[in-house]
Amino acid sequence: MTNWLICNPFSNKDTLASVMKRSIPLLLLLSSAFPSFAASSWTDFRLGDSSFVGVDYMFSSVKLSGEDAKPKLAGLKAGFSLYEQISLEADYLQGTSTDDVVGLEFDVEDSKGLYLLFKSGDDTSFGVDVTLGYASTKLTVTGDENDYRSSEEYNGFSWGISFYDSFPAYKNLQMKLGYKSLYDDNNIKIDGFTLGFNYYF
Amino acid sequence: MNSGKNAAWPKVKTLALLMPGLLLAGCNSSSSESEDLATAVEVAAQTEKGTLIESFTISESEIILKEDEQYQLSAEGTDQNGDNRDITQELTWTSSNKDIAKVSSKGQVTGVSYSTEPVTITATTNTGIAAEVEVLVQDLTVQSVAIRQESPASGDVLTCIDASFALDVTYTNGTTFERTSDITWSVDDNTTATIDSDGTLHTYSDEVEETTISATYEEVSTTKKVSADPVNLNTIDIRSQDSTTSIALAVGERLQLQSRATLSGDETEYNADLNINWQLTDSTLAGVTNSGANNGQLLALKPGITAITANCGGKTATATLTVSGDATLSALTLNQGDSAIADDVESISINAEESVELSLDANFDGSTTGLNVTEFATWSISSTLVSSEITSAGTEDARYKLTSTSTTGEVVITATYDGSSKTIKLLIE
Repeated sequence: MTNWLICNPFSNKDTLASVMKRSIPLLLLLSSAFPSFAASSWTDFRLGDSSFVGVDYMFSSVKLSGEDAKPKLAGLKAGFSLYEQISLEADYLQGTSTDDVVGLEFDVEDSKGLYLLFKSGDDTSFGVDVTLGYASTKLTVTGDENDYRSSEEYNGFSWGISFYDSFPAYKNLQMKLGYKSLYDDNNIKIDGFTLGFNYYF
Repeated sequence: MNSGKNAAWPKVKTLALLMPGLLLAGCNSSSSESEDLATAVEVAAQTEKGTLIESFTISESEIILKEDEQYQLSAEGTDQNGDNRDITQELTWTSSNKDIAKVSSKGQVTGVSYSTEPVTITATTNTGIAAEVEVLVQDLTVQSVAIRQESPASGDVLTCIDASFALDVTYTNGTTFERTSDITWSVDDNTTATIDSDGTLHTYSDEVEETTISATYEEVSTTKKVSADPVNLNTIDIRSQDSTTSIALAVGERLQLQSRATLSGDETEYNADLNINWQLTDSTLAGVTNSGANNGQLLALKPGITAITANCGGKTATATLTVSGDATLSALTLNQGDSAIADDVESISINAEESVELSLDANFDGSTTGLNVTEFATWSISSTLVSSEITSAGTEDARYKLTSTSTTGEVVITATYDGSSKTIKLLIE
């Protein structure tokens, strides 16, 4: 298991390069997700007062060794706002279907994640949000021919970006279409597109 | 109006909130579990395609390096389908002692420090099949070198069929290794044979011909006399397009001609591409390269019909060449594109002992692009202050390379093609 608790991004140049490769584009994403503030707005964040629950369906992709398996997941999420545009979100996804590639069955059994969510606008209007956090994703791969079985949890940095908009008749109900990366290292990448709904209290 | 919950939120706190997430971005380094899974998937994919390697060999079994000297190992594997492929980059390479010799993930070995202790470089496939190479990092002096005939294994060289030679290097400590790089191969001036930089000899003489091969490694040289005999040569042919007897090209079009040779009592077809001497009945209609790796490269120059003949070891094969199109010459240009030498430029300059490359482009009526005819123009030089050679023969990048001696002076260079000429002065400063 990748031990993120003792991970030191500055321990060697490869990890530092990995940090720079990922954090610079994410910084750019974040800066575009924030609305254009007036000169005083950096000191004027309002505390949030909403919470939400939601459902998600994920068309995932497990890429490794040149192969690409596409199992599906569905799940729940819940969160509350720390400030008007920053929320804390907890996700739980569970596999709904597996995929067979090169005689191996790929099953993303579940994924649990905790994220900071940064929104571009208020809770319900059209906008973009970015999630940064940590996920633990269990992937099981089995093969019939040689009785191969691998069931491991892949833990580490997870992030996502999505577009959202609310329904005209139900302003508290929001639809989201996005992309999420659950796990990414030099050997394996688990990501995919998500479609979901959030309800704000 | 702000609610009672509003609070100031300094920039630094926002950054503190973001930083852990951003720093965590670098923390998904390869885990052994993901590496094992990736290997398992790779094996499954290859098994399904039949490309799983079942055995392999490494190019060398032992090598000697000096400190900081590098040597690229290569490995060839045989898969489940019986096909061979280069698997150098697919293997996992490890060194038994990185302080003496290290190896990169691509099989390049580097001598790190001198030692009497040999180092074992191990290459392993994704299924655990392994092979080893022994590496000595020692500052040894070459005592002698010897040329060894590899193919044919013994006897005379078969004219028109590639023969290969290797070099065995003996060091002052008595060890002998075959070397495959940093060798200068050459043949004597009286032979019609040629030799490549990897020790492959090409022959085409009609009669038995003796050739003296020379090889030099780290300033130590040796020679070997070999005899090429065409007595067993049965047939040669011309291979191109869909027919072996007729070729059709448009002006400016290129075609690589090939040839296969057979021996008496042997049905095997041998690759004779680099042994053939090509001749055109009318060399104004087309040009053919007769040397180097592009031997047999044909370039159509003018419309018309002619014959092209392959000659080797006293055997011939002929095909008809038909060139279509228009090649009415409108102008000749020295050099191309941005480096074209304008008509009003009378001279170019180089320093002594430097080189310059020229090309000759033929521009035809109705065509916006010129045709590089460098290789098939007639070049004349007014003095011996420069030596000349055609480089990149058989390609669109063919150049006429002039290398000056140590003497300063002036040389007049004239290039003639299809009745027109271009002249330029070369000033050696």
